[in-house]
Parts: sequence; C-alpha cells; structure tokens
Amino acid sequence: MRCTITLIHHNTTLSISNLTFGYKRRHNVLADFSLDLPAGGVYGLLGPNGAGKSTLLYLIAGLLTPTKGTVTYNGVNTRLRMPSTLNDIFLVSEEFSLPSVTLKEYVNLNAPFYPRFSADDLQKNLDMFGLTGDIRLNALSMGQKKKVFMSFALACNTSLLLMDEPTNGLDIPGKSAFRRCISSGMTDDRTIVISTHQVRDIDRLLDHIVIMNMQHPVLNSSVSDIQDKLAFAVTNDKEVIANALISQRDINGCAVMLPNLTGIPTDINLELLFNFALEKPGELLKLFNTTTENR
Amino acid sequence: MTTINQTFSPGRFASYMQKSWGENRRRLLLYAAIAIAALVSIDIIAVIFSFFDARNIIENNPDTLGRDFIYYSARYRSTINNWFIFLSATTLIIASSMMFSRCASKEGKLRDLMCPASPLEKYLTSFLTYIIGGWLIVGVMYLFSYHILPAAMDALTPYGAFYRMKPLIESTKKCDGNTQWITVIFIAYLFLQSFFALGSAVWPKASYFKTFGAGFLIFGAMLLITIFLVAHFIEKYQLYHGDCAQWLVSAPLHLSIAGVMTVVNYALAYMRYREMDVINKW
Repeated sequence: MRCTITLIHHNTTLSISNLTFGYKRRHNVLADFSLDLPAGGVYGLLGPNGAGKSTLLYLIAGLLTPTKGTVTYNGVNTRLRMPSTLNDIFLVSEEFSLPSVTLKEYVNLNAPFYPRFSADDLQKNLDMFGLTGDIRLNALSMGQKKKVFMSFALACNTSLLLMDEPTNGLDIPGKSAFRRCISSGMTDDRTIVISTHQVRDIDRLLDHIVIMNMQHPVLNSSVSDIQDKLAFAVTNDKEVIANALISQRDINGCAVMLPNLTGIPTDINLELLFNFALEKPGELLKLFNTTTENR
Repeated sequence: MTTINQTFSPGRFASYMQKSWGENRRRLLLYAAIAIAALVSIDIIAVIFSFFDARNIIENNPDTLGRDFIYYSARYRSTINNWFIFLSATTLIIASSMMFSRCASKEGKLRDLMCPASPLEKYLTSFLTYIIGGWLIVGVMYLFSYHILPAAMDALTPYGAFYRMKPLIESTKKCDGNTQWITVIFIAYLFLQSFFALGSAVWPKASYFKTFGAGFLIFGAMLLITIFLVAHFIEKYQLYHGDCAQWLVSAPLHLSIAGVMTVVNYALAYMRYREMDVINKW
C-alpha cells in the first residue's frame, strides 16, 4: 500500500519525495514515503519500535542511500553530503561518541565547521544542564556526554536540527533542562525534528506531530490543527467514555480523546493520540481529511 | 558556493586535518611509538648478541680475526636488514589498514560522515596520516637502524667496525642485484599499502585480517598461475636469465603495472569511501 501525505506550504525547507528504503532486499522500512516540512517549528516524529524513525532521520541527514526517491534540503539532495548542506544540519543521534579531549579542545576543533556557532549559546546551554568548567569528555558519564553533545548541537545554530531519542539517558533535571534549551533555542527559521517514543518528555515542545507506522506516516498535522479537531480530557463519566474515540485508564480517572465539538482547544494527550493512530489509522486520516491512495 | 569549493577548500581541509589530528593525537602517537619501540628492541637485542659474538671471536681467536670478523659482521648486518624489512612492511601495512578505522563503529561513522567537510578532504587527511605517516615512521626506523645505532656502537665499543652498516642501497649500478631487490621491495610496499587501504575502505572493521584473507586468496591464485606459466613457458623456452639486460627490459613494464594498480587501488578506496553509508546493507 502506498500512502502519501503532502501538505503544500510556502518556504518548504525539507522535502521528502517518494522515499523507499530497506536494509534487506524484500523488506522495506519506508515505502513511497513523502513529507514536506516547512521552515520553523519543532516537529515530533513518533512511532512504535521498528517504524523507521531513526532510519528516516538518517535518510534526511544523507547518511543512507534510498532505494528510490529523494530528500532535499533547501533544494539540495542531502545524499550528496555537500559541506554547505552538512554545516546547516546537525544530527544528535541516539548512539554517538565523543573524542578523548577536553570540552574546550572539542569546541576549538569542531566549531569552525559551523558558521553560526555561538560560544555564548554553548555556555548558556551548559549552564542549563548544570555543567561547568573545562571538562574532559571521556571522563563523563553517558548522560553527561549527551548533555554536552546536545549543548554543542544547539549552539551550532543550524537551521535543521535532528534529534533521535534525545531524552534517553537523561535524568529528570536533565529532561527539564532539555525542554528549556529547546524552547530558548527556537527561532523562526530553525526546524527541529525530534524522534522519540518517550512522548511525555516532549509533548509541550511540539508545534507539529508526525506519527509513523508500517512504512508510512499516519498523521502529519500541526498541534493547533489537532487541537481544533480533537479534544482531550480526563473523566469518570461513563457516557463520555463510551463515546470517546479512544480511552485509557489513568490515575485520576479515564483519559479520553473525542472529536472537538466545542472548538475550545485542550492540551493534547500524546499517548492517547499515538495509540489511536496505531489502532485506527484510517479513522485518523479521515478526521484530518488527508489524501490516501491505495494500490 | 562554487562546485570546486564543495569538493575541496584549502581552509576547510586545514580545519579537518587539525580536527582529525587533534582528536586522535594520543592514539596516533601511541601506535607510532609501538612500531618504533618494536624495531628498537629487536635492534638492541641483535646488538647485544653480536657484541658478545664479536668479543668472543676477537679475544679468543686473534689469528683468524680478519676472516671471521667479516663473516659475523655480515651476519649482524643481515639480521638488521631482515628485521628492518619485516617490521617496516608490517608497519606500512598496519598503518594503511587503519586508514578508515574511524568508521569501524556506527558512532564513528556518524561522527565522520556528518562532519561538514567534503569526502575528498577527509580522504586526503587519512592518506596523509596513515600512508605518508607510515613512511615517516619507517624513515625513523631506518635512521635508527642504519645510522644512529651503528654510530652509538662505534662510539661505545672497541668493536665499532663490527657495527658499521652500509646503506640499504649499496650500489649505484642500475643492474646491480641489490638495486633490483630494493626496487622490487619498494614497489611491493607501495602496492601492498594501496591494497590494504582499499581493504580498509571496504571493511573498516577488522580491516587488516579481512584484507589479509582476501589478499591471500587473490595472490595465492595469481601465484599458482605464475608458477604454471613459469613452468610451462619461461623455463621451457629459457625466457628469463636473470641478467642485467633482461632486467632493464622487463622492469619498467612490471613496475609500471604495479604503479598503475597502486593508483587504481587508491582511486577505488576513495570511491568506496564516498559511497559509504552509516549502516551497510551488506
């Protein structure tokens, strides 16, 4: 089945067209996947394990060669790995390594590649994460290394920042600091794509949500659109629960997701939305009036 | 930005070299130190044994001083020569098989591929570090074995003449057997380096062993074919006499072929590196 969701926006920065990719010949991780991400905003890329989130990020960064289709960033094919493209994209991968040097040396050796790197931003981010001094990178724990790496990534001020499971390995204060760093680092021309299955860590940050499952996106919508069309509540009213699109027992009652009939926006319960997207993708697509083509 | 700037920029190349050497300087210096220490250790062991040999001969057999002295001196020089050839070859091969060792892990590949430098700049940096760097280490080894150690022994012992080494290339005659031998070894070194460099691009992980295995199979097959050709054609028709005239005719062709294959290997290594993905599908 081929599924294409295309929202035409002005100032499209990242364009993914009919992307097909698989690690093995007869099994595609992505099949005819298309997505346009306009400049500006924090995009949440959600999906179950094995949905292809990390693979999609690698394809966007030009680290994998697609079987078919292209990924272009500002009109340039990212697979060409041109320095002018790479110095405007930063990938904070789930698995990463840092060299055995001090932080100061690391910055001196790597910052020259990023024209918009800001030492002030780096210091501000490190302060938010509670890291101080000229630390030796190989003496840090995994969580601390991640904080340093993310601080550097944000300080590079690339217009496209890709993050794969950024909150994995972070302690609770670290997750809070991460949210503050992202919020303070956002600008109109900056696009951040965060791939995660830890939805509660990032739900307040997102401007746009993409949910992936089975090789294609099942939802690609802005938070405001979702809030227009869906309402979220916690209730013990049996009638409301019975009429909900999806419900889930919560500590405080029963969390429900309903069509938004009142027009009043409510805070999105990403877990409910995510579960509904996986269980009933067809209904979700109908709700958001997106186009599907079935083969 | 111009197309040329995307492929190669001197400023960016310098920055990448600085980054590569700055982040890996400890590891690189350690490997160089290990290689040089191995050679120094073996040279010193050879010196110690030959010192006692020389003293025993000279003190116990003064009448036969001239004849045996020359014999044991040559044996000492031969030992140093052989170990130098073996260790320098090993150093060059191991260095070139490490050319893309930074891509042995997924994390290493991510760091390397995402760095905003062109593939050519990254490749040239690796070439300078591991290929040219390998030769620099061999140069230090040569200086120690053929100049520093003999000079030290000359100054320290009464048997200094025993340790006087002749330069590796002892003759200026083009057809001299020693010159032929050194030329063949030099070209073989260059080719082996390029072969292991290509292996490093194809198999960044455990490159030395995988390339050695592949080389064993390829060259083993070539050796069998060569033996067959020699047995059936060369000896039968006495095509090769090993003399100077034949060397002057055949050497340029053989050396050119080896030279071309060396360049091809490096070109293939570059092309493979340029197409490298963060996760190989095969």
